[in-house]
Formats: sequence, C-alpha cells, structure tokens
Amino acid sequence: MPRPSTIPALLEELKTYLDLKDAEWEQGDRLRPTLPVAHGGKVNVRALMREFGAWAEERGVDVPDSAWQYVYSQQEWAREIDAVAQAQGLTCARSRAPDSADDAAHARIARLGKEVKDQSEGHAQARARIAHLERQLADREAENRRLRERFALMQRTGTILRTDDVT
Amino acid sequence: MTSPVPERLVVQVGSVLWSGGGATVFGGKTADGEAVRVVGKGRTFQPVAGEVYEVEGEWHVSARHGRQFYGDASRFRRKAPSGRLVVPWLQRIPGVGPKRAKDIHRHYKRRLDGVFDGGVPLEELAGVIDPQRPNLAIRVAVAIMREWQEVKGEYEAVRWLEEHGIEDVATAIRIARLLGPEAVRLVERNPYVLATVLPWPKVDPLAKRLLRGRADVEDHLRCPERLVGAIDVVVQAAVREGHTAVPKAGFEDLVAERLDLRPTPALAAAVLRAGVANRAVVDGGDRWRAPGCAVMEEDLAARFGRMAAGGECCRVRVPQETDLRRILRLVERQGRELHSEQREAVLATLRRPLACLTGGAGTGKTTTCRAIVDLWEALGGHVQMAALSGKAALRLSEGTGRTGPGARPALTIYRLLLGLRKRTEGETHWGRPPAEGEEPDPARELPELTDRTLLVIDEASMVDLGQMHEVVEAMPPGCRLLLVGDAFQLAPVGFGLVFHHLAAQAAVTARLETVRRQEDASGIPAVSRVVRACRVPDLPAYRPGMRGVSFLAAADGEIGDLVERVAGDLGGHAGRLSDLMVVSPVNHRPGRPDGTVRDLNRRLHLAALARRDLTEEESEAATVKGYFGNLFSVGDPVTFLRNDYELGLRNGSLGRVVSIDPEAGSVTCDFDGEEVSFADRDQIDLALAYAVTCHRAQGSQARSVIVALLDAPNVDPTWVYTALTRAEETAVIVGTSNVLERALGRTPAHARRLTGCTFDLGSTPAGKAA
Repeated sequence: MPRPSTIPALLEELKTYLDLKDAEWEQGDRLRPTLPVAHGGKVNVRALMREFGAWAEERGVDVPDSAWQYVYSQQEWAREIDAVAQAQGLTCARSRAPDSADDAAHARIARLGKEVKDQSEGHAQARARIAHLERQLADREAENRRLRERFALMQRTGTILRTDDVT
Repeated sequence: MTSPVPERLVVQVGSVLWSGGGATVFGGKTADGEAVRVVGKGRTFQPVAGEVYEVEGEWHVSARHGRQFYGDASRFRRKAPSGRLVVPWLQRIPGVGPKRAKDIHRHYKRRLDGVFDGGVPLEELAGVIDPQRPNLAIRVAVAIMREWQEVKGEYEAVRWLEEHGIEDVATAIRIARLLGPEAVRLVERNPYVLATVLPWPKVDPLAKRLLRGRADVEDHLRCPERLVGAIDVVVQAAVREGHTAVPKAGFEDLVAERLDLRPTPALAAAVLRAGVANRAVVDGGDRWRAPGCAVMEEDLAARFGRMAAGGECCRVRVPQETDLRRILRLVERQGRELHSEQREAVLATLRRPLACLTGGAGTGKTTTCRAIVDLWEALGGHVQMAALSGKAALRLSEGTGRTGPGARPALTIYRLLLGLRKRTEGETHWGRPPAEGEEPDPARELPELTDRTLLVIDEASMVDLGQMHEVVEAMPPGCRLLLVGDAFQLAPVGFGLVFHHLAAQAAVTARLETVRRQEDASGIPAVSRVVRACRVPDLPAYRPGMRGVSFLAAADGEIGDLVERVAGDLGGHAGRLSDLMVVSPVNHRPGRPDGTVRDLNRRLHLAALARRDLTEEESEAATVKGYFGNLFSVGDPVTFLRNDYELGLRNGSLGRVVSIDPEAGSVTCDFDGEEVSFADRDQIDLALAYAVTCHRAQGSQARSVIVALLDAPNVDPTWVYTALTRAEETAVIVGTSNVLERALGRTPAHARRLTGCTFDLGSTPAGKAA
C-alpha cells in the first residue's frame, strides 16, 4: 500500500503556526511584520519555512528542509501564507505575473494607487477613485473574457450564443 | 407478485422515460448508485434529469419492465440541491479549500446569498471557516469577501443551474462564464439559451416547466422562445454533420419533429417568422444558413475578395516576369529543378496575394511549395508555414528543407495561433528568451505574421471553416496566404468548406496535373485517376509479390484474417516504419470489429508476438496493457496522439517500442532516434500503429499500403483515393467488389456538404481577368 502523503498534515501545522504569527501581529505594535521579510517587501518564504520548521520540531513534528517548495507547487500553501502576509502589508508569496495587456493595465493602476496613497495619505477621494477604476477594469476584463469565449465558441462549433430577447 | 411494504427512496432523475395518461416514468439512481425505474402517478409531476426526489411508494414487478417503484407523485418531495456544483465551485476561491467549502455550504444551509456581502458578521464567518485558528480564519474570510465581489454573478448562475437539475460541473461553469453576471436573468427569460451547450432532451423539459408558469407566455409549446430553441438545435445538428446550411425544403418539418408537434401550415409559418426575426437562420436562397457559420463565411469572403483584388499592400516587391524567372532559376539551382508545370505554378502563385496550389497525390506540391518559399525569401519576404496535424507539419518542414539547425519549421495551426497570441502579450520566444551571447535559434522564436509574410497552410482541404477563420483573422493586412492541398482528398472533420471552393476558381489557383511521386510502372497513378473519376477500376486479383494495385476478395468477417496474411506477404511491420501502412475507415465498431483499426492493431500485434515463439507465460510478461485495447510489446509500431512540444512529439509521430517494464506498466519508445518513456497514465496518448484511419494517414506515404475496405458511410471515392495514393509501390484492397462499387458510387463527402458561401471571387479584378 502506498505511504499516505504527509503534505496535508504539514499544511494543518502551518495553519496553526500562521494563526500564531497573526495573533502576534494583532497583539503587537503592528509596525513590524511578524513574518520574515525579503527584499522588496515580499514574504521571505525560505526564512518563514525555516522558522516554521523549528517551531514544528519543538512540537515533535518533522518538517523536511524541502518543504518550502510546497509554497510554490501547492496553491493552498501559498494562499494560507498570503492571507496573513497581506494583512501585514507584505507582497504575496506567489505574486502573479501579468499575463495580458489588461493585467498590465491593472498592475499599473495598482501601482498608481500606491503612489497616490504615499503622496497624500488620507485622501479618501483619490482612493475611492482608484477603487472605482479597479472595479471598472475588472468588469471590462470579465466582459472581454466572456466575449472572447463566445467568439471562440462560434469558431469551434459554428454556433452563436443567444443573449438577446426572443421576439 | 408485489411487495406491500411502503418505502422511501432518494433518487436522482437520470432520464424521463415516458409521460402522459396520468403518470410519469423515470429512470434514475439511488444514493448507493443502484439503477431504478420510478412510476409517479399524477398529472402534475414533471421531473427533469438531474433533479433529486424523495419518493414514497412500493416495489412492484411488471412483466414487461421488471421491478419498478410505484408511488403517488403528489407525495414525492424534491430535495434541495446536493451542492455537487456549488462546493467545487466555492473551493476555487482563493483561501477556500475542499473542507472549508463543505463546511461553509453545510453551515449556511446551501444558501450563500448575503453571506459574503456583509450579511454575516466577520467573526461568525471566521468561526465557520476555521474555529481552531480564529486569527487566520478572519484573514481568509476577508480574502473570500474581497473575491466574492468578482465571482458572485458566477455563483448565482451555478446555484440556479444546480437547483434546476444541472449537476455537471464543467457544463455549469462553462454556462456561467459564457453568460456572465446576467446569466440567471437571461436563462430565466429564455431557458432555451441553454440549447447551445446542453442537449435538447435536457433543456426542453426544464424550459417548458419554467415557461408554463409565466404570465407573459400564452402557449409554452408554441412560444417564440421554444420555436427558436428548436430551430437552433436543428441547425446545430446540420453543422455537426459538416454543413453550414440546411435546405429550406422540409426545414419546418425537422423543427416540428424536435418540438414534438404535428406539422401544420400555421406551425410552419410561426417557425419561419420566429427563425428569421431572431436570426436563428439567415436566408441563403434555397437554403437556410447557420448564423454563426454565415458570420464567418461572410468575414472570409470579404477578406479574400479584398486580397484577391489587390486591396491590401504587401511590403515585398514582386519583380517583373523576366526578373522573377531569372531569380527562380537561381533558386532552382540551389534546390531541386522544377518541371515546367511546377515552374509556372510557382510564378503564378507569387503574383497572387491569395493563392491555392492544388494537384493530385504525387504531383509534387511540396517540391513546388519549397520553390515558392525559397523564392519569397529571396525576394526579402518572411515565410511562416503551418498544417493542421503535427505529422503534416513535420512533412512540410522536411519537404521544404526547414528542419535543420537555424531553420524555422512548420507549426501546427493550433501552435501557430497560440504563438501569435503570446506575441500580442509581449513574449518573443517559446520558453525563456536566449541569454546574452547565446546563439539565436529561429525554431524557438514565436511565429509572427506581418505585411511581408507569406503564410503557407498545407493539407488545406482538411481545414474547416472555424479554423480558417481563426487563421485569417490573425493575418494583418498585407500578409499573403497560400493554401496547398488536394480537394479530392478527405474533407475537413469539422464544418464548412473553404479550400474546396477557392481551389475551384482559376483566378487564384495553380493546378499541378503530372504525377511524379509514384512510378508509372506501378500502375497506381492510372488506378487513382480512375477512382478520382468515381469509376470502378479493373483490378487484378492479389498475388503475393505483385506490385501496383490489386484486389483481394474477402467476405464479411474475413477482412482481418486476410489483411494479416497480406501484411505477412509484404514483410510485416518489422522493417522501416515507412515500409507498410494498413488503412481502415473505422476506429472501432462494437459488435462488428472485423477489419477496424482496433481489431487490426490487436491482430497484427498478436501475430508479431507469435513470431517470437514465446510460451504463454512469456507472452504475458512481454506485454504491457495500454488504453482502448492497446497492447504494447517490444517491436510494435506506435503513434503518439497529441502534440506535446516538451516531449518533442506531435500528433501522428510514429515510433517503435524498444523496451517495456511489465511490473511498472511502462513502455519506452523510439521516435526518430529519441527514446521516450510512457508511464501507465501517459499511455493514454499512445496507440499501436499497425493500422491507422485514413485521416491519420493523410499526409504520409508508405512503400506498400493495405486497404481494409469496410462497408461504412465514410468510404466514398475521396476515401478510396486518399487511401490508395498513400502507396508508392504496392496497394492491396481487401474487401468485396460490391463494397468497392458502392463506395465509388457515393457522392464524395465534400460534394455532399451544403454550405452557405462559395467565396466567389468572380467580381474581383483577379476573377474577371481569369
């Protein structure tokens, strides 16, 4: 019989560890992240996994040195870390690379948003505007995706999806 | 005999078997997976496939139908949706895994409306998500709420579909994606929208039930929504058969049949009114055109017209006749010398922004093509070549001398389009760009179409309308298009005809008539010309050792045996892969396997194994069982079934098994000197290649070809012609003369196709000149 995978059990341990790190953040001065930080304000995944390994070892759980790879290979690992990292103002463990012109525009708006925030902290109107633009962009992206899918459906099957009212 | 004990069952409706006369019978499955038939008494009960009911009643045994469950339908209770759609959908939201999705779904009683919109306090939500880790759970809850705004429209659609008995996750997500946040409103207004993605027997009962209850629908059986839905389905059925139009004669009757209504003049008038008013059909004279196909046909016709009329500016200057001939002579000196017919074809093609190069098998299309692309590059142009299948792309690369280092090989059409999309996203190479100082490799550069490009599509007769539309849409103005193929070979698998119509027009077509590949002494060119004329050739009876085309009479059930015998006479598959090819029209035919691809592969594999003189135990140890009846042993010829660029294999790549590991279930094959191992799961892409279908064989040749002539509807003159012309020296037809006569008496598949447009270029200057 194949050996059961240890990855789900390790993930459960990681969740508990992250929960503690988040509690430290909440109860602390909330100025310094409690997760290890890498260059560029990103979570230092290797350092975090080393700390996690040491913490788990004290609890009698053996975390392999290669466990940091799970953060890049298993979406669920990255998501758990990102949830805590974002709250501490850190960039995600698996920041997404823009994969389209729309995404690039999206990224630019996000960057612009950060500049506005840096230059005029507290300008709620500017932030609201950014949020509005982001929402608009997301809507357009979704609409573009839908139209592209309908167009591809037509090329694949010769069928036009009926969306107008029938008379 | 009856069982008087009342019982309760939970049954998911599989299909409604009968309805009327005060009862409805449906087949379905219980939670344990047991198949049951349920009879619900009562006129109002109208179950729909996918719905789940708790039914109360008794088992009875019917003499005709066996054991059935009978109950009063008014006591049947519809069960809330199982979450089969919503749970997998929910767990796709970042932060929600399978366990959290189930917990959330269960806790909120399967209604998530308002849960993530602030209707539930964050702390409560966190408690449901992960009560053991409150801090982390709050973060996850915040992440879900942020994401929720993006996906709640999709959720509404998925939940609606689940509530209405559609529990196929992939279909539900597809519908939600196609229709977007408006999905529920659209589907509630017109449930027949779903007819595009779901089968009619599933859509119609669901839609009738929804429309019957609506105040604004007078007659739910004859309302425009249902009429248009039925028209869409009739048109789709025609498109699935390859047509892009349906004859007007009898069209209303086909729609009435779908509607399950008696055809009357009033119904016919209502069908036509609804069809035209809602553009479910487009008028095409004596035929109704499928609207999606009509859009693509008109797009292509307009673009082809512009190109043929010289309305697009290409930045490569084509010199005057004398200079062009001189440059061609230089090109010929560097490559292969052309025959005068081929030379004229090259010159004619170079003058046309839109061109077809056609000719029967063996007339030297690829040689001519090589001269065309070499000449175009000599003029400063850029060449991009593509074909539908990986095998055809490989042959095109080889035939035009573009395989070595530094060459830009032909791509499959799929990969061409993928590469062009990547280009628009700013990428330049397949994989990582070369490092500084690294030698540039054109084969790794993404394809690019510009106003200097000559795009060559080989085996163009097999490219369907949708694929051609995608290709032409990707061409910038000024980009030239050369379609190479033979209209008498197999028609596209998909719908429509483009190449066939264009190649019939002299204004854009260069035709090669002289056969060069097969030696005249073999007699194959003469026989194939007779077949091309749809006449039955006079074939000699097969004798071992004879060349040319011969016939071996085989009664029904004997074809497999005789193909095996002839394969043995011809030396079997032990030599080079291009020595012998066995072609059959049918992959698999339950009940009548004789002579099908699967049957022949199995037989020839076992015959090869038998020649190794192994004991029964040794034979078993010498075989690995693959998928779809494939058995692999060392020495078996195999083919790869998809394009995998990381492995360096294409759909149609031929190889040979070099070793197996029966314990691990793995197979190692040699493809052109490269060894590739296939673990158990990967073998789904691997098949024995003792025998192949004609579609797979198109674009390849072999010294000898055996044709298993089965009586199948797709065996028409084009099929026989394509099969025979794969042979260079010997072709043996195994079957009955009746089947051969019937096959050659059939109208070729392409001529049977009803299309909405012939891409007539007669009105363009090029057309008038011709």
